[in-house]
Amino acid sequence: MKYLLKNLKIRTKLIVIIMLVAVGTLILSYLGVYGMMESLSGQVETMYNDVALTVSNSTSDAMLNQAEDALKTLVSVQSESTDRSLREIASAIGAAADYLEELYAHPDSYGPSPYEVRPKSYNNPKELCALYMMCGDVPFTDEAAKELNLLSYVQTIFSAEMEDNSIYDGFYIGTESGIAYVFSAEQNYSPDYVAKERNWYKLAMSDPGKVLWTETYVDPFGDTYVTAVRTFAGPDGSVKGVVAVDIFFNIMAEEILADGLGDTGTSFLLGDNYDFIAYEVPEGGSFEPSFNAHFENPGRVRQALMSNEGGAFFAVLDGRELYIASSTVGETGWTLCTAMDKQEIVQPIENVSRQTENLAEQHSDRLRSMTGGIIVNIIMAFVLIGLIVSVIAYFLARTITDPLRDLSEQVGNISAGDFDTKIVPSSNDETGELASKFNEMQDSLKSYVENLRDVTSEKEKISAELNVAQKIQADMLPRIFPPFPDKRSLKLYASMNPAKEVGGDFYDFFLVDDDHLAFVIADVSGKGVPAALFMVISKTLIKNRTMMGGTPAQILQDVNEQLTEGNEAEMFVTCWLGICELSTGHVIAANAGHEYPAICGADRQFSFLKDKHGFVLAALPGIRYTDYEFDIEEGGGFFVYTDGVTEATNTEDQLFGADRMLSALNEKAMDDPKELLANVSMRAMEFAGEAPQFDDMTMIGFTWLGREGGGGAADAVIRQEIILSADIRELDKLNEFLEVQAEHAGCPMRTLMKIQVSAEEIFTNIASYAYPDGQGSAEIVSEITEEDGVPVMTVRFSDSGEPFDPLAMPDPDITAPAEDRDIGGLGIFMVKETMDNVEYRYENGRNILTISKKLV
Amino acid sequence: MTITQNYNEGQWTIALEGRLDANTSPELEETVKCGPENMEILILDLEGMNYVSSAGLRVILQALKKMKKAGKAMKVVNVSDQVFEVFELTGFVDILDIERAQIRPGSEGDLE
Repeated sequence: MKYLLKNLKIRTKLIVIIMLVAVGTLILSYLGVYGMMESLSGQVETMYNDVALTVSNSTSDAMLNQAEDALKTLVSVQSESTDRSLREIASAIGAAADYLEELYAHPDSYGPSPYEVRPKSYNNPKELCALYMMCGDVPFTDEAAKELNLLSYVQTIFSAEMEDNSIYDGFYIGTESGIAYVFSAEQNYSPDYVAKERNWYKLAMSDPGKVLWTETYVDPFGDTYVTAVRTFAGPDGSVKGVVAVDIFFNIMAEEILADGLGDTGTSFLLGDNYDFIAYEVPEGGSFEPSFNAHFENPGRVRQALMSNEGGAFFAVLDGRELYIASSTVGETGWTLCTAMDKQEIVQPIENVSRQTENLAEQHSDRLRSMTGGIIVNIIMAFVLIGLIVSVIAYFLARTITDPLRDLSEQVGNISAGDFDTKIVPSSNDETGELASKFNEMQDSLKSYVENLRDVTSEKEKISAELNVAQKIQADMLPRIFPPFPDKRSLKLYASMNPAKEVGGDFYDFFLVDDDHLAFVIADVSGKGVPAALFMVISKTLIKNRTMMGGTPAQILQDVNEQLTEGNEAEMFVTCWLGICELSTGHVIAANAGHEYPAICGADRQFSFLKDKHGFVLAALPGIRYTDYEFDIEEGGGFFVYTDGVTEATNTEDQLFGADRMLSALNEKAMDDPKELLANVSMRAMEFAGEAPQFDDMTMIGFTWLGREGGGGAADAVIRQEIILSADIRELDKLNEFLEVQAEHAGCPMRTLMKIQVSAEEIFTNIASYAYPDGQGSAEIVSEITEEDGVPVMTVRFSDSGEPFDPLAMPDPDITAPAEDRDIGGLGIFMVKETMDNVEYRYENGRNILTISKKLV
Repeated sequence: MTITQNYNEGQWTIALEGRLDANTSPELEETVKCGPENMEILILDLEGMNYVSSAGLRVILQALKKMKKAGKAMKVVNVSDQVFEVFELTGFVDILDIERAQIRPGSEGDLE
């Protein structure tokens, strides 16, 4: 993450930060608003639920109260109506009893009765009539007849009542005297019937003079009856008998139970002991008077009825949950109940409750959808604000990053090297400050670069001068071998591998006269231009002085005087000077502080000649040097060198040393000095390995072949070689080399030109392409041989550069018009065309190209 | 090599003396690059020139192409036998307007 942030552009970072802040704020406010909305909608919902509950509760109470009132009103009305009916009956019985008492009090006032009373029998007529029977063994005496006649008067009341009211089933009377009288349409005859033993009679006797009611009873046909009874007394107040009326209760019950409340309203009548007197018997069912059989939890219901505090109550009757109100019927003490299904009362309450809940739910939903809408609005606002913030952030970021980018572009110009265009600060903030700092930096840079440029050009100049010095130094050394082709008595080779920096080594050899060859090898102390200049002076002085004659000691002595004079730089030169008499192999030499020469005999085994060293040249005036002499055997020779060879150093700071050099010299019995030098050089390089060459390596090898020369017979070969830097500026040297050879062989000018043109093409090729780093050399060997009496010149070029066969190049088109001419390949084409023979081979890591031409 | 220039009435003469080789041809190249205005013809006078290599030929070809492109003429005069031989060899005789030397340079005669 950190890595990621680090690598973001400032603009992106700013945008990200602003966006994060904005989005964070938005999310927080969104969460706040969302929470508020949620809790609000929750509260509203709760509130609605409370309202719904309250409404439904109060409604429920109200409904129950209302239902109770209705039930109570109804039950009391019904009860009163029932009571009234019963009282009417009671009053009818009372009137009959009163009338009977009147009859009994004034028996004499009543003659024979207008009403017929017939004795009761099995074949009684099924019509309304008065019948009598004597109960038990009581005889029908006159007395009885008289009483019956008296009784019969009561029929006037009975018949009136029977006409008026269909609920009367029949009136009957039992007397103490044993008469049973009945006025009814239903005539059942039982001979054993004794009125006084009947329950109704006994009931009336229990409270004489008062209308009493029997319990209801169901006859064998399923009809319900109830009987009202009362005693009647004689004038003496003794009970004379009981008058009773059977009520066909079914009819009355229908009236009582007819009026229900609502759809489910129902009524029922309970007797003294709460057994059922009347209720709506379901179709197909049979009447069941048992209280317990009808109610669930009958004890509690009985309790409720008994306490009867005027309230309605819930009870389960025959599986129906009812709301019941009760009222006592005063006349009989019965309990009249009216009831309605709880469901009917509660339904509206539930409806209200449900509606309220629905309403609450609807409101809640509306609130929720409103909340949703608000949230959508918030999200839209969020997106909108996000967009606006992004745009603002983008522009804000640009106001910061644009100047930075401009600055970066302008700084880019500085790094591209434009130091003159000033940065124009585009703002007054930190960026502007940075811009002005950059301007300051630019100024410093500019002056620094100018300074550097001066210094560099100075250095370049010096470097160029050094190159010139190196070239002068190299040019001064004889490089054409063999140097004296006509001297058959010697083989001579010398080489100098310069170190990177110009040093002060030099070698020289020259003929003092036809028989004396002088050798010089020297090392000027120090490096660089002063050393090179001192070397030039030394070399010139030594050669000039030697040419004047004298022994090496004398020569060195004189040269020392000259060099010491005006040597302000306090440089010095070590030098070995030897002069060989070519006819005898006798050498006179002197050593001015230089390394020991190595000498070998015909066996080609070198050893150091521990000569007597004189002091170095140019250090002190008046130094004396000593000559020493030695003879070289035929086939023997000597090898002189500078300390660059023995002091070649490897990477472990070990020196190549004199011993290793000696082994390299003696490795093979090499009589060719060139081969010898190459071997020493190779071994020293091998030893140094990767370590850079610190000092020049300069060597001379000399082999004396005797007075007549090695092979005796002079071969016709004139062979010379030169090593040139692969540099086009060496072209003049090459030309000079070839001219010398051609001159030897008497080559015509025109032919020489052709050879030179070819040599130039080949050499420029090497100089231009062989060494990609521009550092390298080319070895050119020239030989003159004879072929069929005609001299032939062969020139061999070799380099250690990139393998390349120029002869493989296609020939150019030399017929194309000027516009299409291409000069490429033309040089090699000219070589091929003008030379007699051209040959290329790649051998031992070297490109070798040989050309030859008959010198005619 | 010595280069001598002369301009006269639209005729630009460059006289070469010595060797035209890899070392000296850059000098001629520089010279040819900036010809005088209103020049009509370039005359290369090779009277004193006894040597030409492919590097020299390259510059001569360059000069020729440049002139042709500008619609100017170029002529090579006083061409020695050796140089002519090179021109022949390389097919330059076909594209150059060459006028050979009447008198051979003295140095050549010495060797032959």
